[in-house]
Amino acid sequence: MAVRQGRYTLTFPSGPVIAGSAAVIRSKGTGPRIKAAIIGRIQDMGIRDANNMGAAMAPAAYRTITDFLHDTNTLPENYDMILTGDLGSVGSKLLCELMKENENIDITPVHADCGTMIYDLEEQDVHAGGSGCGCSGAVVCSYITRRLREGDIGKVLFVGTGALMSPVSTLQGESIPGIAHGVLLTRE
Amino acid sequence: MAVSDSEYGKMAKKISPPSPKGLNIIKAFLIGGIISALGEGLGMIYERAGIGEKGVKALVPITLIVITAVLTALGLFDKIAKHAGAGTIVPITGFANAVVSPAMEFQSEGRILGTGAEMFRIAGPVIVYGSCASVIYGFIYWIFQK
Repeated sequence: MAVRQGRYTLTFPSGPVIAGSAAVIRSKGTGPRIKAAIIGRIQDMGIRDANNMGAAMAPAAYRTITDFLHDTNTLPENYDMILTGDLGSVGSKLLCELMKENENIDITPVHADCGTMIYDLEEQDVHAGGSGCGCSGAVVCSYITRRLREGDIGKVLFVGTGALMSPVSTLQGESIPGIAHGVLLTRE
Repeated sequence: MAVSDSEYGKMAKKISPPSPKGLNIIKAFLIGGIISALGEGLGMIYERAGIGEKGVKALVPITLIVITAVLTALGLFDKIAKHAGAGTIVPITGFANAVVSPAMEFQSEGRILGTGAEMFRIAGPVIVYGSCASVIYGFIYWIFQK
């Protein structure tokens, strides 16, 4: 759907990303390595605006990141990067705010978002950033894995985000639930 | 979760950047006005050329539609519409764009089920309700004419 919105007259709050990516995961070999994984839980904080998907997904990312930090008994400082999928600039701010308000944890120094990384927000005029699962795939499978391989960063908690949005339920005035699953990527 | 749903809604609203309403209105007014002036100008040219009133009334919209269709195909219309907003959507240019865009967009889905079926995806409702409204208007007009 995102692709088709490309040529409609009205401007959209984000730039659709059309990207494909694939990763081969093996039990042996050299890094980057998946050290841990977490299955997220659906979160719904009543966001009804289909043009504000970042806000709809941020609580899910918050939940998954918090659960992961609790489960592993770690702090944001223990990671080189906490990377989210396609929250965009608005969703990212909300995620950091939720972490601060609820858990008193500041993730801003290590937080990054694929949606805001894939475009140059100033130059390319994409408003809140890129949207769609292509953001995560393209950024993680190229830029992030390369940086891990080169040893520039060593430990990345990557949390892919998704909005469980159906155009029909949005028209019926239902809220948009979000989901986020995470993997811990390490150099070795 | 400590932040409640309603608190979160407020947070989201605060952080989401609002549209610059004032600027948008001015841009829409100016560009919409330019398009209307262009239409007036075309009308005057056609009249000078000796085309009758009826012919001018048909030719002006046709010219604007052709210009919009070409600009849409070249990808230039989007750039103008991005700034003009309603300024380009409300005049007939918006209608032309609404037909040409999906026609191009759905080309990949075939001539019949793609371009043919989807061409009026946006313009269709305008035609349906426009026709309905004109029937009602015609009926009222007829009553008062009696």
